[in-house]
Amino acid sequence: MDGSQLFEVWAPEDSVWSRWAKPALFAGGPQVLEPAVSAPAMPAMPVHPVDPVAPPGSGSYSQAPFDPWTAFVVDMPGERSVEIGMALARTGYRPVPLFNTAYHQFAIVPVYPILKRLRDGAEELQGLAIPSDAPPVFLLDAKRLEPGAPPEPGKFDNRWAVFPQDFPSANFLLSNNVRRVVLLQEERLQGAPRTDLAHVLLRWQEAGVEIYAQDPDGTMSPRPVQVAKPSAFRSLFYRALTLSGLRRSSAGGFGSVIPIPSQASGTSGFG
Amino acid sequence: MELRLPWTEVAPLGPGEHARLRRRAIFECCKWDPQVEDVSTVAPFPLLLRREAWDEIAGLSETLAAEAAAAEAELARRPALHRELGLPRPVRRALKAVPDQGATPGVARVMRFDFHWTAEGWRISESNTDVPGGFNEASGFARLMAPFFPGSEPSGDPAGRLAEAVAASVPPGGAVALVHATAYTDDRQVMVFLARELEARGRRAVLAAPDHLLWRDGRAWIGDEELGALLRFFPAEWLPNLPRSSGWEHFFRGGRTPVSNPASAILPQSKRFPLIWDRLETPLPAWRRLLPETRDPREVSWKTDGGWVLKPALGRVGDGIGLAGVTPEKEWKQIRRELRFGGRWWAAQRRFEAVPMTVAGEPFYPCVGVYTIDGRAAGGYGRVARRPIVNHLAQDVAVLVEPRQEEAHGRVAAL
Repeated sequence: MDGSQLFEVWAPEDSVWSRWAKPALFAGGPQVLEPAVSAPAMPAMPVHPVDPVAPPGSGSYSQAPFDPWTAFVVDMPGERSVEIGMALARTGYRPVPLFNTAYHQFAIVPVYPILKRLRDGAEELQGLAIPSDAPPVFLLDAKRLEPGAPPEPGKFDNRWAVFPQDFPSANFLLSNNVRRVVLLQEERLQGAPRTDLAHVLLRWQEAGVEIYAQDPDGTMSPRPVQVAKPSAFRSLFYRALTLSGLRRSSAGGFGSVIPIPSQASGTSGFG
Repeated sequence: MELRLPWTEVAPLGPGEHARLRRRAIFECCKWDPQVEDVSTVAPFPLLLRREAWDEIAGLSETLAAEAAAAEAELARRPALHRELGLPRPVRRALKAVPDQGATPGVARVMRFDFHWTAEGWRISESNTDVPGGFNEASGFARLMAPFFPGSEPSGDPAGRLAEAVAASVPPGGAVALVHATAYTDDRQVMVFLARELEARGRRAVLAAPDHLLWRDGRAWIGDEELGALLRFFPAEWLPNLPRSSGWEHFFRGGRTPVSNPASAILPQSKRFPLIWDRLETPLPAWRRLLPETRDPREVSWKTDGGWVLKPALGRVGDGIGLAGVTPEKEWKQIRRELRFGGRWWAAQRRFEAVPMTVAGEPFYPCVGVYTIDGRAAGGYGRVARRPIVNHLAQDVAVLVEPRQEEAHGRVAAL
């Protein structure tokens, strides 16, 4: 299965949410995967969707398998995000991969496991009868800005950030019956979204979309969240400022190999 | 006299054809940003220009490019005028050293001029003389769209022409660094596309951030390899964000490795460029004719006169533009706030009434960016917007051109 075919499975034409799937990882990655032997079974995970009948916050959350008014944003590390997306797909949601990054052998944010999970899950996903109007599950990698290795010479700096324009607007969500969004992230963050994601979620919240947070690996039900206003919120130049800041703090930015300095040059590095 | 519209009305592709075209654009043309918020950036229809219209804007672009190059050369010698352009201080400092240390040599000089059709004929809203983008769409996407509209052809191949011009300065097998903001998928997709074009011409493409380069005696290296040329896709005004030890000033002056474009290309890029025209020796008749009146916003009553468009001096892709009645209220407030103390970083441009094209009964405002490479027109990059402001929420549209009369007759005769 090449990148285009794999993308077709994860972003099928019949889903309204497929438009937001990010193609960069699919365009450059799948050819590096070894042939699939047999797709490993993906672990089940306990997710407790918001009960559309019960008032949120009442504590009366059910094990309802599907809630047509709820979308998810999965901000979990690496392949765990894909696993959760698959688990929710089995209950009727549409997973939408938003991994806006590139594969490289020496990448500081490992994306091979993500690619492998995407490939391993493709056959099962194809076989699921997900309705074309199923609510979305946006998949992110929580490690996008917290790489396992420092951006040093010889490494491939593939960190990335999300921006409001990477997601549908609140109006679009609401007009497609999405009234609530559950952010699935690690408990240690105590319901506070990562800063780049806060720019997205606060826009949604201000427009009337309810935001909840939950640790998918924990036992707690989703809790309502008041998203704190991040720095430069709604700034005209937020995107440029963010990327400019990231470049300054890294050894040259994202998505390219940080060169090894010449032994003979006598220079001390790349700034 | 009513002017004839420069385009031919077309019907959009069906949803299925459009979806397949979009997917091909993603995987064949590195179009990795096919969706921005709620907007699919790949328009399901082309901008089909009449041949004489394309010939006209291609010719105008060549004149604009020649005038811009002459003005840029004069401005490089006259740093006293740079402050007026709204350039950041570190950029001005780097430019000031050009006369003493020598300008970094250029190769494959690329510019883009953004044309709009109005009731008075063609007008330009701005020029991109520093680091114009849009090559994937202008070359690749247009190639994919053309077969759906028999008899039409892409307006050109700017990516191929740029690669050709850069390759001409580098021996076969030599390395060219494509220098860009590597954090930006939008920028990386352009670089990957141009890298393919360079490699198809037997040159090795190295994707790099500007601080990956080592500068030795003015020559650029990556590791132990000297680079034959640099293709810069990193805005000049962002270079000072890098550490000084990165040697970023070599993009302005003192470099010996040829660059497309040297960072002095930012001089005519500023939206405040027209404010100094009267002080230049270089005559700019085409610019004066095609660019609407531009003033310092502190000198005009833009708060009460809705006929002015406010633009950041170094704004890009139409972002940050203030247009009364069009810019959303929240953004408009922000712009007013910015202008209260920062007027010298902005320009006020007379608003013009663009003529929309109609597709399936809906109006779309088109903008055709015409590239010039070494002064010759190389093809067009199209965008369409539902409002008369073309910004990051606009759609990319393939620019196609009707065949020449003699070609059309030839085809009929062959049948």
